[in-house]
Amino acid sequence: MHADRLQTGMKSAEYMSPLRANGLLEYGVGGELVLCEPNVEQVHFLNATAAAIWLLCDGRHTEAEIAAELAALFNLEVPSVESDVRETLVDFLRTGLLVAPPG
Amino acid sequence: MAGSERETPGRGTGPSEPKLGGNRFTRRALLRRLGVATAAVGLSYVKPSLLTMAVPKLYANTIYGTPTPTPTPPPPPAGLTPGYWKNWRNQCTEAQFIGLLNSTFVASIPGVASATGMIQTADAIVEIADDIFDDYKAKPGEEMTILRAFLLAVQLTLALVAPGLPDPPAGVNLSPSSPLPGGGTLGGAIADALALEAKYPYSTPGVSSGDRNSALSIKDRLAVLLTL
Repeated sequence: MHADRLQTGMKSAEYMSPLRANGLLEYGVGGELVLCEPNVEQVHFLNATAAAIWLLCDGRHTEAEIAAELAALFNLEVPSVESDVRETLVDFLRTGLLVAPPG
Repeated sequence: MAGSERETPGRGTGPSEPKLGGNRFTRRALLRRLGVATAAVGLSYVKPSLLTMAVPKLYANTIYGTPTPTPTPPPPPAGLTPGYWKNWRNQCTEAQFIGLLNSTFVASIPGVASATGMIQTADAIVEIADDIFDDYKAKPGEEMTILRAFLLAVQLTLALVAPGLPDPPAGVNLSPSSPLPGGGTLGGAIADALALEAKYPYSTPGVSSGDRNSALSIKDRLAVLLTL
């Protein structure tokens, strides 16, 4: 499972690229993001950093690449954001916000 | 979706906006998706946070865009003041104004409606209306002139909703059934004003002391809804 691979600490380059689940409604609010799941009546509130990670979960960025993009966005060193990215991706998976990419 | 934000190299980016890793996103595209207009505004890094919560169905419907019926209170009654109509030339054409005046008591003033020739009649109606509004803050002893100005303003506002006439300004909401704060309706106040107007036709000099008070009382009832 994707989540298992993330949580077992495999090297980032080996991960599949996280992909956002379909059918979520996105509402930008002052740099932050609100995700709504109509069928399960859940709402997810993402702060700006989590929102950036979410937007990078497009099925083309690996975890490592997401970390690199995020670090560049905030003018930080990549290692300083890697653990945050990983934890956030795990949270996304746990809450069903990510799906396995095709193939 | 983020895929649609993918930008072609060399387009939409410049030397001051280096591409981020992987050549997939630009800083601008990501910031735009986050609702931050420019990189100069920027974002401060904070530990990412995801808060998930269940929402009640009713609230969920609001979030998801399903309209939740809520009663909309009707707009308050409001009409256009004599001051507005004094400057009618800024609001409508003369032809439109004449059309409005034909719905008011001015059109039935003796010597105007019976005048020969359309142009002369129209000019006379406009002249009387201008005369009424010129003096709507008349001095004591000319209470009927004051009353006429407010009656005319009310009648013009009511006529404004007719087809082919200029769109009424925002907030205009007046009808004969509009309730008055002190009781009764606007239509009742109009009827009282017209009765007094019949007693003291236009250009009739003088008014009894008792009717002066009546004129001012009716004027106050008409004026209370002329707030625009």
